[in-house]
Amino acid sequence: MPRKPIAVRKEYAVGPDQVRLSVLVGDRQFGTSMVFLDDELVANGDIDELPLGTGPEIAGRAVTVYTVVTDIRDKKNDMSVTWILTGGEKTATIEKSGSGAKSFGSQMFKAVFELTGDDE
Amino acid sequence: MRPRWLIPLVAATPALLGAQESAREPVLPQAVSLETFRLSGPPALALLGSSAASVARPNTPRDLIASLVSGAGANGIVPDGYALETAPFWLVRRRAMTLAEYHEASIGQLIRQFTAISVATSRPSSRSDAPRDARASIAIRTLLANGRPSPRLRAIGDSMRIAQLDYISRFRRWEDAGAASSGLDGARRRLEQQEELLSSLFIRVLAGPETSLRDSTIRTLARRDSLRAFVASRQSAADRELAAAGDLDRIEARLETLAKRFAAEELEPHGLILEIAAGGRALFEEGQWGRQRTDGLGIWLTPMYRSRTSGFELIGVSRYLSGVKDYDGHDLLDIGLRAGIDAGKGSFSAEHVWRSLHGSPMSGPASPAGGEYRSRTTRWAVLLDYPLGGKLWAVASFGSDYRLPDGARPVIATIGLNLGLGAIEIIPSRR
Repeated sequence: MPRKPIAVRKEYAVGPDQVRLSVLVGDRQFGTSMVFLDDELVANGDIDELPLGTGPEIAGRAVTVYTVVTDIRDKKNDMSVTWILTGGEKTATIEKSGSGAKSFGSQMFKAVFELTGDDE
Repeated sequence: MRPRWLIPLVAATPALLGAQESAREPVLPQAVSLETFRLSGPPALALLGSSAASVARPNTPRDLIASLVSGAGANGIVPDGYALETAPFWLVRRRAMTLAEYHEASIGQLIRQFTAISVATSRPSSRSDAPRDARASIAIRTLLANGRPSPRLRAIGDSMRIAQLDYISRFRRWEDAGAASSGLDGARRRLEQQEELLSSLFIRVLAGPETSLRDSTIRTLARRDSLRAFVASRQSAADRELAAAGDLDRIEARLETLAKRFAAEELEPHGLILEIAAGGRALFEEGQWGRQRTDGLGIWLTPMYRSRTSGFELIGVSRYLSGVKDYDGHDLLDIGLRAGIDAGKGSFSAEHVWRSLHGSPMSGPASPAGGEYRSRTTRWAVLLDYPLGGKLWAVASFGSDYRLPDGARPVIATIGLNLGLGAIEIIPSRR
């Protein structure tokens, strides 16, 4: 049975500009992401400044980011994922940390961002 | 290039340095190879010429302090056999460091990340009851170049990425199936109740005169059928959830295998790798921390080049060691070059080592055997190794060893088997 994901759920207020998403896998670990806008797959792999759409286009929708991190370090199994959203009213930087269940183990991180507009 | 060729076929590790307190029995110069000049462990240990049973490698400040406290010894006495190596940069967690930044580090970042400090102590045993002198050393090493990730590492990384994407896809299926199977237990209970009620109603309608229950029975029958369909659909989702969980376990196991291979391959980058190390050694009379004097120093410069595609590897080693006891306290300068290339399943390599003694009398330094070492001498050898299956390797070497005090140059000619535990010589070289 897989471990529960390390999860985060936030609202992000968009503006008129292009909203971009970056996912940083820290602690020198190996990670891969998949990004969904509602249920539509938008991108996978390394996510760096991924354009999600302009505020009016994506307001009211939800971005879900799955990132699986695999421990590749011999002596430490610390893991962390940072999600950075830009282009909205503010830049949002959200970080979550965890650790592999065992050496060279994997851990799922899941972030859901509900994109809100002015009228919501 | 396989690391297999590091096997100690001809070379017995020489007891070179001052901390070796062996009795001064006549010994011939030992055959050494370039491999023995490289730093296989902390340079502080190499300065003592000893190999500690274990090297403490603290990776948190707390572990470091605990290790230093335990290594300080008691009653002002230098402990025996203590060794520690730590990289200050990694003592604190590096949340912001991505793998790409680590692999593409600038020279400044390399120095920060790869600088390691080591300390070691040694208090060799003595046949007398007199207090024993001790030696301690401190050294630093770092990388000035660390090559690039090898094609094999990139291939493993690609496989990991594919496996991780597969993991995410199946994780979503597992999540969806888990959500779809929710309420299964409650639906099952309700279905059982409806089945019992229906059974009771059937008996009463069929066996008795209660025709008024017929409508109730039909409604119960419809509810039962609806619940059956509901439970079947939830059960199907639960089966999918279980299957997806099995798939995730299987992918996790594959990722674990790949991660171990990645970690091992990461230690063998391609391109230019340049390591530099230096340290000093002190003698502590009667093992007292307070009674020390400088005893020697060592400097290592190890450039290495691995070709990206051809399996070609070039290693250079230069080291300078002062106050080498096995050479009557003279200074030793070794410069060596080794080239190796994969040949089919096996590998072929050749090396040349140039040794020079300094601070010696005009006639050349005296050997412990009472003869004389030449102040300069060389050694060359070619080596072949070939896998025979499993951990069994055939190995062979041919060359010319350092000149002996009598002027003779022993021939190196060995054929052997490596069982994975070390080398067994079948035809030993003449020493």
